Amino acid sequence: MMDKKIGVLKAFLAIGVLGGIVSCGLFKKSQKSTEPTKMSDTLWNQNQYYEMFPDHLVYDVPKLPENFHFKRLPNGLEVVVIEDHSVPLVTVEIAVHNGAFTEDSSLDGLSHLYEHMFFKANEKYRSQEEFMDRIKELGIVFNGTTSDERVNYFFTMPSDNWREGIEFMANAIQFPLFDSLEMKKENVVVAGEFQRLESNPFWHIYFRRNKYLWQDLITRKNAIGNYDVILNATPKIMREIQKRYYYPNNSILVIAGDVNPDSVFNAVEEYLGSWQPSDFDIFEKYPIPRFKPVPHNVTFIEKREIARMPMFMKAWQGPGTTEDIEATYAADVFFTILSQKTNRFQKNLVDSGYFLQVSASYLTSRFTGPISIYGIPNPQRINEGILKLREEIAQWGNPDYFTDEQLERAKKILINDWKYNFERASQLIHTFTFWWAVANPEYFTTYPEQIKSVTREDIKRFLDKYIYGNNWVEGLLIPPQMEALVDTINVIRDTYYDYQYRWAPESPQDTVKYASDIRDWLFLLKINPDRKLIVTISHPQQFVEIGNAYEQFLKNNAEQFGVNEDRWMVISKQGDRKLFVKLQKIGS
Amino acid sequence: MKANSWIWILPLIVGLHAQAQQAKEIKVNDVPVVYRYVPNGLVSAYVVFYGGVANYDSTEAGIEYTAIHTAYESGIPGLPGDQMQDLFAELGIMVGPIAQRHYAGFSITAPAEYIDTAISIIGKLLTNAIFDEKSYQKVIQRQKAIINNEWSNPDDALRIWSITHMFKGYDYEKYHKGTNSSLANLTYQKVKDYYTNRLVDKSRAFVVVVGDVKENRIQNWSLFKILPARNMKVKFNLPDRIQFDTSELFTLHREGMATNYIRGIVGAPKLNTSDEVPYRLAFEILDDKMFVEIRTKRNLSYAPAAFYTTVMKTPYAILYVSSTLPDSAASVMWRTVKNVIENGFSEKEFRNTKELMRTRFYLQLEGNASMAGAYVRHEMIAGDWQRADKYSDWIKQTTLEQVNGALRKYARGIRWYYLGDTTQIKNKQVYHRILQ
Repeated sequence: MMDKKIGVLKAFLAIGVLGGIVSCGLFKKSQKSTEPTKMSDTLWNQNQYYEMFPDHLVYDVPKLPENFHFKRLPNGLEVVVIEDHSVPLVTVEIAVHNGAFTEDSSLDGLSHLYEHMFFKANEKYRSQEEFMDRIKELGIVFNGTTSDERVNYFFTMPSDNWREGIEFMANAIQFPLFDSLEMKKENVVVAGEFQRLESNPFWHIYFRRNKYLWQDLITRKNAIGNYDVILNATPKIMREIQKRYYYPNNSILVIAGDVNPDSVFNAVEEYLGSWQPSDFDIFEKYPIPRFKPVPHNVTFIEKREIARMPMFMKAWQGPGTTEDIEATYAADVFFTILSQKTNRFQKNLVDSGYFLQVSASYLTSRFTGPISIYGIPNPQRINEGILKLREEIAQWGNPDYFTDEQLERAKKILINDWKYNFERASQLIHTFTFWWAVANPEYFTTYPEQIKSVTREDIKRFLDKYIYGNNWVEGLLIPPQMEALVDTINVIRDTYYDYQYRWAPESPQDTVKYASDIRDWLFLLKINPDRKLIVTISHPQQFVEIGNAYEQFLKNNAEQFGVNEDRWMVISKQGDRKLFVKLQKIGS
Repeated sequence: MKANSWIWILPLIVGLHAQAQQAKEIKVNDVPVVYRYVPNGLVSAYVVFYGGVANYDSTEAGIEYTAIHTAYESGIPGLPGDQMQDLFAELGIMVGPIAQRHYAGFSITAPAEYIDTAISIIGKLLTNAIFDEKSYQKVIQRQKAIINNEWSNPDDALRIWSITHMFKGYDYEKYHKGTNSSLANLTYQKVKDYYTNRLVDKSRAFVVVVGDVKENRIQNWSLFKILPARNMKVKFNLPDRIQFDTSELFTLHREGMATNYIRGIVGAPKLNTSDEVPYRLAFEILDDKMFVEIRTKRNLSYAPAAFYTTVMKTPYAILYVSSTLPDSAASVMWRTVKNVIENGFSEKEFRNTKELMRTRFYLQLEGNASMAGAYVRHEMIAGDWQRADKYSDWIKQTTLEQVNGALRKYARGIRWYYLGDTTQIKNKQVYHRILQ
């Protein structure tokens, strides 16, 4: 782990230079003792915001593999040259701490739009045509990506064009024009990307899952963004994003391939040395709000005409590298154990025929990464499969759920995967900037040794905290013709159930009227600590609480909806099926 | 467990292209092996059998896919599938069962010290797989899920539908992953027989090895000694060439999608003819022009494309777009190609595209697996693995006149395939215009 002394030293240096413009990339470290502001200090204290650069993620000169060469320019830009002469190519990539995590609802999707605008006019290449002409002249294969916690831009070209490539990157990153006409056109293009996603049935279950998982902060995990926000974006808002995040001290430049490091460093100084750093602490001025825990377990069913097979998703909020970096390694090891064919998870779910395939994973993130299960249920055994999966999850924490051999094998698999990153420089560069974005460069370098040190106790702590200590979200995508195969009543027991519906209740009386037809309404079940049942009828735009009315309904229908010996209450019937709700205290 | 000795492979790969050798073909026990030495601590290999969809009739479509995946799922005596796959993962060996239109087999990438182990297991898998019924059932269920999920994905659905329709009555009408009806025809016994008595055949075997392994080690692989020779002949039933003299529109209405997906198929020269490379260059330039005309100038689509497919024995060219304004998008595509036919590409466009293809060529050489895959594709599809290495030179030698001439020679009618909301097609005439 990072020596904390370095962090302290850096904090000291940062305070010292804040009066001027020059920094050493140290503005990245959120220094609570610096301006601005007292308000944000208060908020930090209230724990409403994440800390972007806690001490354990701060570094001076990072530990890197031996063919990686590191330099930090006076303006704070970190530069890494990865020397690899296997083919005469070079890839130039710049990554920025920007993306969904920086977006509130007014910016939802605009990091992505900004990424598109990068490939348009700038002060040197005054139109997109000129920009594209230069791309072609240099033989550049290019792209950019926007994800939750990173925006990156990359050009791969013959290595004899490396200097021109760096100059080209320098112009594009520093001097975008955000021409209003180009921007108006590009809004439509991004909307087109959005429409392609929407045309895929899996997107809908994924997005709906995320809405429950991230709640009012879903914009912070939704890189594709909001359609209306994108369509209404202006050059002014692009410049606002630039003013907030596009600084050398919030970016990393990596050049990988058939190059000489010294020559590259000199060229970078020449073309990017005058890029002005921020004169404020970016993530103190624009802090990242903390995700609220999922308030209760949720199950939903998504029907889509174009789906041909069921698909199941389950998710929890997991650890982030800023607050619980050890758990991120434990998560990787544990889910790699579950991927092994000889593990119980695969045996009991796939070999037993409940699922055609199932996988579990954790996405390493700086702030609260998602833990996800994806599965294709056997259409004939959807209900049993979902219940069986829950049983398995309940067993994850048992010491015999995996063997020592499986634990050690998981570590070897992860380390092998890590080694394969090095085969292709043009791909390695993306992996490297990903780790820079979600943690720091040393996370990448030290990954094998960290993985080797994961113990059973680490895994248990991870499971207790993030799986058993958290609520979850479950979603099932089904084609309408398979709906009859889903025993909704059984599947949703013990969870909050959110069902797409065709009828919006206008009054509690209406609700009662429709309460016996489970397929035609949407409701959330909640049993609070004093064992009162609250039913919430949900509406696309609003929630209508009808708790007391529903209890009255139950009381009036006691004969039909009684409590049985196991304290399972029947609250609804559909033919010979019943919906049971277990009376129990939540959280105890 | 043997300690890994390839943790820091990087010092080895510095200066690699100077040390890497040219690929060559050797014969080991009558099996052709394309071998290229690359000293980077890793080895990628392919062991494949020629034939693909030509090996079976349409009622059995998907059988090769089922067979090869069942073998992999089941494992070998003493090392059942689950243990085998875990062992591979533990050793850093990546194995992929493959079954495509033209071939089936396995791809393997491994640390150099484990390649012998990996090949030994693959040899046993090919000749003595457990091939139990339970594994078969798992595979066939999964396969059904895959083809149904593909049909949910508009890009996959459009691709499969257009190929099936275009090659009606020919071998490419058969989808190599099968259809719901063809998979229903398969039985455990039928698939097992196919695997043990038809698929694995030394006379149709082709092996590629790229990486850090010396030739004498390859010569000793038992794989080459145990493959049975069945002398099965392969003959693809395909049209000689794709050429449309008129333009037509075929639609598949699908509701609930936010945009529409379109493929316009254009005729193309045969592989291994003097027009192949110029035509490929023409569509590389057109791809770029579509980006400019459709996306940059008019913003009609996020993802326009134009390309000359290189993965079919009977190739064709594709104009692709997804758009909420389908008529406008198709019209601009048509106009763009027509303008080039009439006026030709510029010298600058031509020169720039050559530079771009140089980058792409080296990207293919960057990894052992992509290099090995290129040799396999060129051999199986065009009958000459050396094309993978020669292509770059061929592009260099191509002239602008050849490129313009090829486009004028083959781009005539367009067969449009449309997946989406057909009520958004307002002007059908757009889809009936020919290029020349």
